[in-house]
Amino acid sequence: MNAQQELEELMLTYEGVCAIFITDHDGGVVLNVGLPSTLDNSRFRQQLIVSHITTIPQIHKLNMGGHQTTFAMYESHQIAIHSIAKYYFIVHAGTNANTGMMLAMRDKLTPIATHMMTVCPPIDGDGTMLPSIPSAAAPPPDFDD
Amino acid sequence: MLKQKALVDVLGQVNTNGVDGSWLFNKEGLLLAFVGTQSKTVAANVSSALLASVWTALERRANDLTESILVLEDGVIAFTLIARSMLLAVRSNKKTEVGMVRAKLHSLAAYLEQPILSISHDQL
Repeated sequence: MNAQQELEELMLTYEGVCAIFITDHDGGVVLNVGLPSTLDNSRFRQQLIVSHITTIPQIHKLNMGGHQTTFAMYESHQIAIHSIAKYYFIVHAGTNANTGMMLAMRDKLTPIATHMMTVCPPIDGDGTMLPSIPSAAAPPPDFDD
Repeated sequence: MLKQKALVDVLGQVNTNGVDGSWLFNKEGLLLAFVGTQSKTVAANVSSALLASVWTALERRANDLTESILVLEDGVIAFTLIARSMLLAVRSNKKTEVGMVRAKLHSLAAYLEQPILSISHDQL
């Protein structure tokens, strides 16, 4: 599977979708497909990622389980952000795009996320470190003494 | 003048078929009214502050935000702007279809638009 190609096909399949990009949970862009002429791509993208990352801690405090999708309807466009595995899939579409389709796109994006997880398995501790080995970020047991 | 009892009655009318909470609060997160099942861990006024914070973050990028939907593992929260200064939110459990939540939100927002507008700051 070629993730970039799959995303491009997905984008072209659905009417009104202008761009899809994938970021990690820190906001780093992993993949980007879209039509650069439709918007000031890089600035738009960064603002969108920053505003979404800001909302995640607030959403978790609602205590209604993990985040799955944020949908935002603007007068000139609409955005859907799907949290799948360790990635955020951000779908940008015009006002003519079907809202239900944007929410349901999660099911189509899940195989791509699964593929990406096999290509880039987690190496930040939770997937590979033995439970007995403490994380380097954790303070020593006598830290507060 | 906005009557609190009437407002609560109106907000409560959407709480059927899986929809179990509705809030009216301002953009700063201050709660005007809440009707529904109180969460055991998060009070209604805390939820309204959190939702207002999410709205502000989404609106920071573009000022023309009209509506937002949060799909979470245990339910859905949809919220929208009414009378330019207030936010109306509706919460449902995970079994409820998003379209139903959205339809209820829209009809409640349309009903409350004029009364809220009449007491909003711009009209005074």
